[in-house]
Amino acid sequence: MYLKVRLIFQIFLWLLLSAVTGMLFYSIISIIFTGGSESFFWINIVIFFINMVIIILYFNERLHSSLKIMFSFLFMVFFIFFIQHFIIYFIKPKSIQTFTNLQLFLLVSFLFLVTRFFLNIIKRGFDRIYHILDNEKNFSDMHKYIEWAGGQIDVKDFDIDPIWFVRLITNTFFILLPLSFLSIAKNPQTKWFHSLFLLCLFFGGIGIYLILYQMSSILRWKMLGYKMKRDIVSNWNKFIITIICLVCTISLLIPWNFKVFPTQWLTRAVNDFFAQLALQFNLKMIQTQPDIADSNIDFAISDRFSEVLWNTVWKVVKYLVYGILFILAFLFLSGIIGGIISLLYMHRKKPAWSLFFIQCFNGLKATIIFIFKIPLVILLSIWKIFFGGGEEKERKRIEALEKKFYAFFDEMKNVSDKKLEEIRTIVKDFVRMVDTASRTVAPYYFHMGPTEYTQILCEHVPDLRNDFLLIVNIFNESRYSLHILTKEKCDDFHQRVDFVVRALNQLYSSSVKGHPKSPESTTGNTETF
Amino acid sequence: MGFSRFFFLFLLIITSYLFIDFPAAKMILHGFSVLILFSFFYTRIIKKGLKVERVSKDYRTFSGINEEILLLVKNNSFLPIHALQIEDYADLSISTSQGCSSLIFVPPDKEERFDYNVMGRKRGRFKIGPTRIKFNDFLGLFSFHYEENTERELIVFPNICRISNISYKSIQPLGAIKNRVPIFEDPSTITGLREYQEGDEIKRINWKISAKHSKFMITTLQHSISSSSLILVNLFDGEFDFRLKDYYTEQAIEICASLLSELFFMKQSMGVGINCRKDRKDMVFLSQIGRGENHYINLLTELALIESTPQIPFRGVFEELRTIQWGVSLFIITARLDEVSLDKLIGLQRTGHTVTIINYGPEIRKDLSLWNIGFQSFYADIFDNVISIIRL
Repeated sequence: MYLKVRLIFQIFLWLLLSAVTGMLFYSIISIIFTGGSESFFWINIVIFFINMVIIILYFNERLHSSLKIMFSFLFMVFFIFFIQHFIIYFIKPKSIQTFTNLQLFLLVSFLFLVTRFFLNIIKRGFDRIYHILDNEKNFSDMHKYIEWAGGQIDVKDFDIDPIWFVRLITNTFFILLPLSFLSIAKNPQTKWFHSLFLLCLFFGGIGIYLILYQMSSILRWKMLGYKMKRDIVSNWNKFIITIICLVCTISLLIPWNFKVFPTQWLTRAVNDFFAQLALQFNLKMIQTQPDIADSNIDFAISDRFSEVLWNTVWKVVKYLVYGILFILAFLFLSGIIGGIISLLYMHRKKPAWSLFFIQCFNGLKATIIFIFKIPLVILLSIWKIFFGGGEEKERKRIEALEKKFYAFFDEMKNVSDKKLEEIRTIVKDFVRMVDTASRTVAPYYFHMGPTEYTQILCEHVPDLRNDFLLIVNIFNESRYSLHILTKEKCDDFHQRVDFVVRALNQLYSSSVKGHPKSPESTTGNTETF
Repeated sequence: MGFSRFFFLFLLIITSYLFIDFPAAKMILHGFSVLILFSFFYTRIIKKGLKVERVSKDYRTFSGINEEILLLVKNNSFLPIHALQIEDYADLSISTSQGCSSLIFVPPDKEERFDYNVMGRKRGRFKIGPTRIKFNDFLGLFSFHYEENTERELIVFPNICRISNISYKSIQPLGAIKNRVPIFEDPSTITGLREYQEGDEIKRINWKISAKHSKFMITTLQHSISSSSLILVNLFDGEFDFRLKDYYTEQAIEICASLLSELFFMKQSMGVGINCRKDRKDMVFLSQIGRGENHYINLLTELALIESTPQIPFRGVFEELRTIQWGVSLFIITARLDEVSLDKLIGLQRTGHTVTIINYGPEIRKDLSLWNIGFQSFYADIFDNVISIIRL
């Protein structure tokens, strides 16, 4: 049922990986080396082919992961070497710009690491949902499947939403777009290569997002008990492909080969910026004919290297400082505008366009506060270094636990203030017990439910079984009911948790000392509370 | 995902759009705008063209039998609905969960069926609907959800049991049963042949047999009459204590429904008179005496909706019985019978009605054995979907 989804995903992933690798490659050779990067046309085809093979290798379930890494790396390196030498020795163009073996190896290794990074993250995210969905066929009972799937993934915490992918792809755009701009500004002939790869990145990213969103939606609906017809997935796939084709066609139909403000200043500035640097890493043109033996190319280190080094470094630093100052000024100005907007819209709903400025304002505020707090922060840091940050860690752990247990209360936002107060008290006490038990009896894992963990505790400390069960019963009553628990019940819960915490601590300390001692059970002695 | 990051990315692409000769950046901006706009208008168009309808106006079913609830989802737009979440609410008494939810794909300009089964476990009127529709676009950016008013009623008829051991009095109008008072003949039941006598109708001559015997032979038919029955049910609360009230009310209604069913299959005319509470109003329900499937279903529907009454005693039913046609057989389903009601019944018997008393309740009441005054008297014992009629 989901095989076609997997196939479509692989195609989009192939586009995305090729785009990332290709853009990086052209940016590197265009920015670092001078001239001739447009002549590496052959690398386009190679990149697409290599990424296709890598994806096929990685999606082969029979291969061990170490073998996948090894094969893909070897294939990538040797194939590029092979193609380069094939071009030099067999096609024999009159002149060609190439890399030395070391350059090529370093470049390919870097590109392989990038490919692997993207492949790993995206495939892991996909597999997480795919395996759960695909495992449905192994279950005859839908309820058991939902129960199993619920244990695999936390649907309530939106663990399956493809937000991680949006973040990844946005960050990738952030890195690659400026690189492409620089590359194109410096070497305008590469704009077509960059365009091809940028389009692949866009459509690959959109395609993967649509597939991930489809799968996460289906999984969420399944967990919510929706019945689903088989044709949903296939029709949805068709829909996704149609949308991609439609968007692609419309994008191509709208005029795109124009300049709004035809300026050359950016090209000049970038070339100026890289002028000195580029002189040092110049690719050399080699003549493959008639003498092939002279085809070894290496870096041409200029004699004027030491002379111009200082100038280059100075220019780089100067431009960087200018850039940083420009950004800071922009943020500062935005922050001030944000402050004015915050004042103007103090009692009204803030318009959507103002969010950026308000965020800048908040950032500015936080920065100013931080600057004033620096001495305090330094003192606190010193304190932590000398006296440890155990309390902070413990507080964070408790907060994480509380957040987890609050998530069990579905209707928390809709309950009355009294009920909310009760929930807070119950969760606080329950977390206290869980935290103590986690430290002393059995570790608590985040996928465990309250009842599940309590059962584990019952197995470990059978003497406190009744207390554990009563505590979890009251917790569940508060969790599932909308009525307010009686004061007696709340007090009983609190006292029982106190007792259990005390007993567990006592048990732990006695077992550490080597004298394990069972705590006094309250079985049949509930009137003590 | 921070808004700032998107904003910067947008700035970056806009910059490239304006200042850099980078075709893909422009295409991406176009593509992204097209995608967002398409997603926005797609959601709007789908919302406008979506229509959810329930096929039947009302549902009626017997308890324990599955009833198919069918919804038609019409997509009047030119775009397909890739995944539409439908949640149809149903009363918990007829469904295992409060809502039946499904995910469907609807092709453009077509309709899709969404069906599920409900089963009535007890008689009554139950609500189905409304239907909740949820839609999220393919990007997860735009969505809509609303409730379509598809509320309908499902009426679950009372449980119908088989009646055993019932002995019909000869004068009673029970269709195919032989009647000693020949008023009508049943043309479907041939009892024999005899030689033609003067005065016999020509149409009675059985020509085939006559040809075989070389003399006129006529067919003799079963003598039977078709008359009417009126079932009077006592649903007065005061007959039972609080704990037993609901159980025995259901029992009385089941007996009445089963008797109606028997009469319906014998193609008899029938009617019902009950002191009851319907739609929170105490009343005496007295139906017309009629026959046919529609009348039978209407009576069962009424029986499905009534409850016991705390205010109107059984004698109230007799006050409503001012004019009933001659010869109507009366079936009295009651746990007790007060003197006023008994007097009324005796009066009715004197005017030519036959009276059959069917006693029900926690105990067999000997005082309801009224054979000596000409009433047939029975006790109805319900066990395992069979009503055993025991002579009192």
